[in-house]
Amino acid sequence: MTHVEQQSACERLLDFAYGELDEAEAQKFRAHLEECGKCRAELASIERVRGAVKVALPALEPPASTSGALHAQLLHAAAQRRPAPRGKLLVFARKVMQHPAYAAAAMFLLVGGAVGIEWSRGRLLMPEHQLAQSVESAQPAEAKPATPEVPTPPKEAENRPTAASDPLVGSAPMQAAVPAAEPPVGGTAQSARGTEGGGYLEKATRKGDVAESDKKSSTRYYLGAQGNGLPMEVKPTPARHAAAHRASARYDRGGGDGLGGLPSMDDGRAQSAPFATAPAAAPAPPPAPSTRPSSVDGLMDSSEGKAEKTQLAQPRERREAKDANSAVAVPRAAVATKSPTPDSLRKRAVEAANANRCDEAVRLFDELERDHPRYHISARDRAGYVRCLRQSGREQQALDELNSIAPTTDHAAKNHAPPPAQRSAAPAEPQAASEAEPAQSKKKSGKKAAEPAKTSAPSY
Amino acid sequence: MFRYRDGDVRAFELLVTRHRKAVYNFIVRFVRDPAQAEDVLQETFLRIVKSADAYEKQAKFTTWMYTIARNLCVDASRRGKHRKAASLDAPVNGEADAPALIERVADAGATVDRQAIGRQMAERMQQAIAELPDEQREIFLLREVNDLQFNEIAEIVGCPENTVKSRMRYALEKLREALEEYRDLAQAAP
Repeated sequence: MTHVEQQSACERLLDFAYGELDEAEAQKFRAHLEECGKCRAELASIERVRGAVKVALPALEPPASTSGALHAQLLHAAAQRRPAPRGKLLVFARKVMQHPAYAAAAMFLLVGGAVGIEWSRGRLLMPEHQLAQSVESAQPAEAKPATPEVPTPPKEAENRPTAASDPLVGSAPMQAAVPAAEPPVGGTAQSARGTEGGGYLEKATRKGDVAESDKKSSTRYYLGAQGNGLPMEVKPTPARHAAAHRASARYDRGGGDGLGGLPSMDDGRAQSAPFATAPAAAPAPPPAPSTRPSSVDGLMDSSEGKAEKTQLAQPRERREAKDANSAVAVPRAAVATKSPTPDSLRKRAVEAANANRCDEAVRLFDELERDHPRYHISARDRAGYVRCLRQSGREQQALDELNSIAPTTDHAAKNHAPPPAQRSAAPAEPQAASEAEPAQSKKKSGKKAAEPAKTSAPSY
Repeated sequence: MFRYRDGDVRAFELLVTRHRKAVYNFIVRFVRDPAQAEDVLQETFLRIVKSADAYEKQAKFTTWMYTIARNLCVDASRRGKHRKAASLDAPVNGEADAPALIERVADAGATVDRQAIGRQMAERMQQAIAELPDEQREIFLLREVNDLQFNEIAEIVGCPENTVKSRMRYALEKLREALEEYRDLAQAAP
């Protein structure tokens, strides 16, 4: 055995003395002990000390007088301890359940978060008016019937007086003049729009739902663009029915479908109630000149649809307060800021006249003249107006219009510079006038107007 | 210990019953004060109760338990540095006619002379152990009294195993020197 090996073997003396070597290593060390006297002497010394220590340090028993009490205290403390639940989620849940404040805070966060999410998604707001959306999209032949899923309106609407719910009625004397009548239930969708009131009231019924709606004794009127654009369910009191029919009849007189000649209402689904079927047959006074802008048709413009959206984006309480306070004032304000441009009115009127929708054309021309008296209407457009007046049986008014064509044209030539399109069409303008009143038109329109009249034939 | 951690109080009672005596012997030899040893013993098991949730199977339970006891003993030893340690020869519980601690274990077969020599030798050994430095004494006690292996002791005191063995050799050497004077007497005694 080398010196190094012997030295490493001597270092294992302590392990051998305390029995920490396994059997093989212990056997090796015993072999080393036979050779190493130093390790033998030291091992003997350690064994003597350990023997003496066993005598000097006997195993002591804890004092019996206190061990019982200590033992009881320890067991009590051990019993007080509860095993910790496993998992962080369980620990958190236990903390929450053990403290009422935590539970209340958690409930508040839960409910508040849910309400906040719903509010941010806009689900707490009442839905937008579907008709307004359809008109805004300006897709023809898509007059959507009113869907029955429209949520129930606030109760303030039910308690609202009839005049308030119908801004078209206008003044109270007019209400009194019109007798109460049941609304017509025929047709697919009936729309009524008030020109003077600056709004429209739409009553939507379905063919198959007539009997059902009668059973429920409830009719839904949709307060459209003149108000807040929210659907409103109104109980069918006789006064309300009468108001609805007054509005319907008025617009039927004026133009037909009540949508101002919009192509979306020209299809078979959306037709205005026939004028003859309107029960409100009382002679309505001519449209009184109103100080407020009353062309409701312009509300269907895209820009106004955006404005309506903006109005819908207001908090619900504010909109309800507006409804409750004044159902008329809101449409007025809305219309006052959203009156259609005279150009749009003129274009629609001309389109209606060209399409032989004479009632609508007359209504629009009347509206244009009333709201924009200084606006120049070309003689050609005015000829269409005259034709429609004659077809409507208003001969006297047609005659007056014919008389006014020539001065208007002169005035336009002097003060207004008509657009190039109108200038190019100017030679054809006096056609209708020359045909209707040849003598007068020759006097007033001059040579330029008289020459084309020889080549063109009257269309009416 | 795992059973107690999961809520079995009977398991803790079993632990106390099994380890109470050994821990007490270590503590009482370390702090050399029976009253203080009882407090430290109580505190040791209370610490075990409080730390039961944090107990993991990283070492033997005895190692963990003696680590707690040793730390408490070190703290108590520091606090009572200048306090006079109770002698193992003092009467138990302060009673005048009560036997001393050293007399609790008596050799029934020994003669009076051997008992006297053994008594003197034990006193000397106790004195020599008490005079050992704390770091040597705790290792010596854990090895001799509690029969822990060197690697466990190293884990308890937080030092390498070779350091533990080195300290153990120093302690044994000092005790051997203290024992030398009684070797002749022990050999001469009948």
